[in-house]
Amino acid sequence: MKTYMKMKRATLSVGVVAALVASTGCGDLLTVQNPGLIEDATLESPTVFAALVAGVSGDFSQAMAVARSISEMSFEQQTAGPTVETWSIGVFEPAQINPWWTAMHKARWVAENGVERMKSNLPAADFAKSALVARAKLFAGFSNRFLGENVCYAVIDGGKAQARTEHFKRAEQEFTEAMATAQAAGASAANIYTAALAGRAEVKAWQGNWAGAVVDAALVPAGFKYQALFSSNTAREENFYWFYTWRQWYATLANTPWLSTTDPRVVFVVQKDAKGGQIVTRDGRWPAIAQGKYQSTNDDVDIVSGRGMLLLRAEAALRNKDIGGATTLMNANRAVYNMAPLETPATEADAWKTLIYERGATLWLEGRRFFDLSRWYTQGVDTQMKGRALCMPIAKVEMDTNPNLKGFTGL
Amino acid sequence: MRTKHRLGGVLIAALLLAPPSLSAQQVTGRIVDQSTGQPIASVQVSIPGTGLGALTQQSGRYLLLTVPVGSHTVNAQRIGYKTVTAQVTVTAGATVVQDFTLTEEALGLDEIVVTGVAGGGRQREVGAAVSRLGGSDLSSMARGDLGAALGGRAAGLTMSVGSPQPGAAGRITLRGSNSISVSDHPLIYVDGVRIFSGAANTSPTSASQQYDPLSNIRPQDIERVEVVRGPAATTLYGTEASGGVIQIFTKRGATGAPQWSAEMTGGAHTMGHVGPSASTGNIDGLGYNQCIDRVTSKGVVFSDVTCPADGDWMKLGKVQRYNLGVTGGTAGFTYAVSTNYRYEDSPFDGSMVDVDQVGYASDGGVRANFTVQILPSLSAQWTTSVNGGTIRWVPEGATGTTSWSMSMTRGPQGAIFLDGKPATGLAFKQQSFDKRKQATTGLTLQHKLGEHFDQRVAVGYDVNQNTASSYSPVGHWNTPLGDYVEVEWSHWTASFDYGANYKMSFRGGDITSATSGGFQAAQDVDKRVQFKSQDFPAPVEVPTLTYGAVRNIVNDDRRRVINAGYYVQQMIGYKDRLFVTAGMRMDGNSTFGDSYGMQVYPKLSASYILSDMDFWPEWAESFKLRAAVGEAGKAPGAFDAVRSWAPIAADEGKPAFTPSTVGDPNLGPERTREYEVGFDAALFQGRVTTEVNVFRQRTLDALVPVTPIPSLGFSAAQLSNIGTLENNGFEVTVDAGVIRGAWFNWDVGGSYSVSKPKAVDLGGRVISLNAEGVQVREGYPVPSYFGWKVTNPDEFAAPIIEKDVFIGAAWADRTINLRSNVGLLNSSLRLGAVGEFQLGGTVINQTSRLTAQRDMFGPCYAAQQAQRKNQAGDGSAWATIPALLRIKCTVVPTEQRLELWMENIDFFKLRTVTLSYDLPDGLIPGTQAATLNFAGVNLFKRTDYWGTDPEALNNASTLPAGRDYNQLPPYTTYTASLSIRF
Repeated sequence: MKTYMKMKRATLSVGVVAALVASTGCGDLLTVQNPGLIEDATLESPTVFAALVAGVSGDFSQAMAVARSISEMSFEQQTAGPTVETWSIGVFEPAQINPWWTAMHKARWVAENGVERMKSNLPAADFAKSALVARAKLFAGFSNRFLGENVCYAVIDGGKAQARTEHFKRAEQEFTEAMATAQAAGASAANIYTAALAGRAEVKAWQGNWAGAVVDAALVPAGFKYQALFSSNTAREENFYWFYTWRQWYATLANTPWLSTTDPRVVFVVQKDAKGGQIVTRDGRWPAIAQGKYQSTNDDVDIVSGRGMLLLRAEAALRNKDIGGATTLMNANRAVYNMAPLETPATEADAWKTLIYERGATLWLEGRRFFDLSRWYTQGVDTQMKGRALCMPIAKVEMDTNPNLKGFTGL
Repeated sequence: MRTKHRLGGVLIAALLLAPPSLSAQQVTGRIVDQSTGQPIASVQVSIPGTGLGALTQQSGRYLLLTVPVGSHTVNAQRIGYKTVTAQVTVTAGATVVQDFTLTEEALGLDEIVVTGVAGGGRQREVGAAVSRLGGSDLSSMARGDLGAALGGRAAGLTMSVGSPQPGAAGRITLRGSNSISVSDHPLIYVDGVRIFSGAANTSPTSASQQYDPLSNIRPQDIERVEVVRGPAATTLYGTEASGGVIQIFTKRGATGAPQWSAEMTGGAHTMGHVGPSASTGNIDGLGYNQCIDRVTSKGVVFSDVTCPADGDWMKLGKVQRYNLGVTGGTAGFTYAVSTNYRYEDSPFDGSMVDVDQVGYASDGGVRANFTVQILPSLSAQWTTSVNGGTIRWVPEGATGTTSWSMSMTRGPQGAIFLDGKPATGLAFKQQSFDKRKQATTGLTLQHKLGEHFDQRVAVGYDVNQNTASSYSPVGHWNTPLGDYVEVEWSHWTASFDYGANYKMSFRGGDITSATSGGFQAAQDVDKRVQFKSQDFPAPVEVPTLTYGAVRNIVNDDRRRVINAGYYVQQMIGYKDRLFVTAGMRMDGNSTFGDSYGMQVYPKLSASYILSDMDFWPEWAESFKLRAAVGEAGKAPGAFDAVRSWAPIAADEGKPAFTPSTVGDPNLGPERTREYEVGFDAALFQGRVTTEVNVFRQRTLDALVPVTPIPSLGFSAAQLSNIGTLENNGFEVTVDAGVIRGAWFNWDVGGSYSVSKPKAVDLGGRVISLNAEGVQVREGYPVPSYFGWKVTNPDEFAAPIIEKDVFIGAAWADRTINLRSNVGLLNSSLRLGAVGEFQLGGTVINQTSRLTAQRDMFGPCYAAQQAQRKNQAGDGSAWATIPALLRIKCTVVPTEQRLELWMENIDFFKLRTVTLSYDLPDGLIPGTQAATLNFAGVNLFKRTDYWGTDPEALNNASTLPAGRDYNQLPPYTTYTASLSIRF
């Protein structure tokens, strides 16, 4: 009897504790709201669309960091980091492309997905005249342009490989829609309209529609520019050119053709230590001579500009063998910098040489040189890319993860 | 100074709490060793059911006070000895003398273990391997903190060193790696309180400079440590326990007069030759010991302008450690209070840049344990500890322009210059600090209801805080306007544990039963905020975050994880020699996906004491056969189940989003099932003991980081339950008393552990864990290095390269520990040594690779000089260079490949050599015992590895594998100490 009572009390003790625990409800007990990350569903509200589009812009600026490598593979800067990869001599391995591919596609997907998300959550009338929608479309165009200029194949949203021109097609569509939406949005979106116009001019040209490109480009004022934004506000927002030349000495102007120029568009600063000694780059091979175009973390980078449009029109003229017309347009660009006009080149070859220099100096360190040199090499007007890869292969990470690329060896 | 006063105050308070020791009836006596006749200290003498207990002193004497009148059973227990009981009859006012003679029991089958066993159980009842380490095992290692002392002390336990600096975390693994993406850290409990068991990477400057709460526990405070190594033993801990469990029990005190102990240690850290040995053609290694007139492979002679006057960066770094403790108690109340302080200097000379202390650790703390017998059936144990300290970190690691070791090893192509000349000593001016605090407290109530039922409830709270900062003053070589980075990190762990046990016996005791059940919950809250302030208006000694013109909140990460679950266990025993235990744990966890429910982890084990059978030979007096199978899990990270976006600033400071985690609503824990069989044996009257374990782990639903398709926007790898891993291995431990005698005895021992973790099924995927070739592939060790192999390394010809081939397992898969102890003069003079082999590990040797690229790596000099001559048209020397060196040391930048620098890191190290001498009684007046100890740590190394050191690895828990990237090698340390009891 005694034993029975003890058992009963013991069972009771266990039961009380178990009941207490059970009464808390395990589901509630384990429910945790962690601050920090934002659940996907939160983005389905118009109240957050301003932040969504700011993120689109931010991810494009992040993707623009690829331009630092582009500058090194197209002789704008000399690679001088702790590791010298083969891409710097024009030999690409798919694994090297991983970070660039990922960043560029993220920028594209975020912009295109952002447009779709806003379309799903805004009344049709509001969607059609939203400046935020126009800006997201603009960046969808820019990111497709950026991809089309650099990669060999277009791969959209885990799909099959397509010709790189697919990116230009998509960009043209996005720019055209951005223009329409910006126009409906009114004066506040005027700069978006002009930027889309400039972007469309370029992708029309890259698809061979130079006449259409000239029409669009002519509508862009010479002083216009639309920029990827950078800031010292956070480390993520810092200008990457500045970081890798003023902070880390991973790149230098040493051993580049630009070091010998006195062109005011190509500015550089010799890096010295506290006692005035020459600092060497991180690979120890070169004097650290930093680009001077971006001397602060806050400096923005042009994505499109009126100056670029003048040179696009100049190239179109030159393609039509209009050396005089091309020179006039190049000089119009130089006038923006208060530079003396050029003499009209005597020959077409000289004119191309001049254009190649002028476009190089004007768009120096804006992430465009690799594509320019590659297409000019293909066209036969420049030889700097001889023996070097002219576009980036599909990244290894895309090949490894995308089932639609299984067995893909080229179109 | 203020800290010392506080510590002293606590001690005084504890002493005041120590009640007077006189009372009416007493039981007293002396306890000696049966074989040697010598007195035995620290024997637990108790009278069950009364709450009375005491520890014997150095003289072997004990005293039980206020013993009730009547007949009692007195128990005498000590780890390593058979428990002895005696009946005494106490009359009013009398003192009963009861002496005991204890016989060694090497196997300790009747000792109680509690880790992994619901309600605790005798060793004979436990079907899985449980290692017990006595406190003296650890304190004799001459290491300043527990983390360092644990290395090599239990078979299957591997301690990988991080930074050598005192207080820095290492990486503890038990039975290797059974997980790809989740930390392998075991769970750690101190006196029943779960503490933070990770290693927090809080340093803003180096990933290897991590916070480790184990560094706050001094070996002198430890009574014992229990280690269970795999899911077969850790099932009852559930979702977070597949990496094993380490439970630390600190000293609790026993009835008797206050007994004091003190230890004072002095010594020095130093560092010998670092890097490839002279036999590889390298004269000054990696330059740690020479900073004038160094020569590059191009023949450039240079000196560092901040080189100390003796031409050597090294000096002796001071070591001071102090411990003071008191234990005692009276009927119904016992206490143990201790305090410690240490100061340890780094062995670097900053005299030329006016830096007295390049790096140091200064910390201390107080630990107090109180046990109160509230009622005969109810006791309460309160444990608490408070620790704090400061570390100034030596600037090491892959931190670019602020790392001394990186710039120094790179010579004229480093990153720190003055007047265009190397001035790497300037890096010592970088001020990187950790200011740490830890407080742990817990209350355990144990209630016994009758003979059969007992229950236990424990609540615990562990708080860790660290302020890590890095300051570059105005005029700094890298940031002339100055900057200041501060990381505020804190981690709170709250734990609750309730367990109840009902024990019965049937058929005259032939059949025993123990039924257990319980509930456990733990909450971890982690917060890490990083700030940066830069561009100061004027020089300042100590800046604040508002001092700079540019101020950023760099990072703010806060996460809470809750795990809760029930368990039940049933043990059936037959004739006290066959025991079968079955149990299971049901768990929920806040990190599981919405579609995931409670998880059930089952276990089954059996033990059979063969030596209790009649047929068993007498020379093998104890033999326990055991087998166990069990499951445990590992939870994913706090955000892994949720599709999420990260808040960022963009568009020049505007609020914005960017894709973060893809999310998986079906995400659950990975489950590791372990089969373990083994035996424990004591042979030849305890002269030989051995433990053998064979285990097979299979991790199902392994959490595998799957890289999403990048053209779909999200880039962060998503954990998915898709993999199957296995980890097979064995452990053999043998200890033998080779010579046993009063004047001379010699014990040797060792253990050999093998664990072979392998990926079985990854759905055909290759999982890349970083950009340095660390991958997980089906059929290969987890994880492994894949890189380039030169198939004709020794030929004097162009290298033939095979790409993307298996180079080796990332972590050592075999460890051998060797121990030897010699005792002379009745063991009053003792000489001990511990050595360790670690075999099978691989590392990416970034230090040597990047040094070679800068013409500063000795083993490459001949090849590089020959290649330059060859480029100039003279191929004669080049023809004598073997293929491996031709490509590994190449001076052509685009041919320099990290894939060629994955290297084996097999090594042997003489971990410790200790010499102890017990001073004659009375030599120091007022003491009961005094011991002098001399010790050397990391005295000898043998390796063919070309890098800094096989253990100089940045092995932060966030990294998939070790990498040698300018971390400092472990220090060599010499200490002398005096321990006294009074």
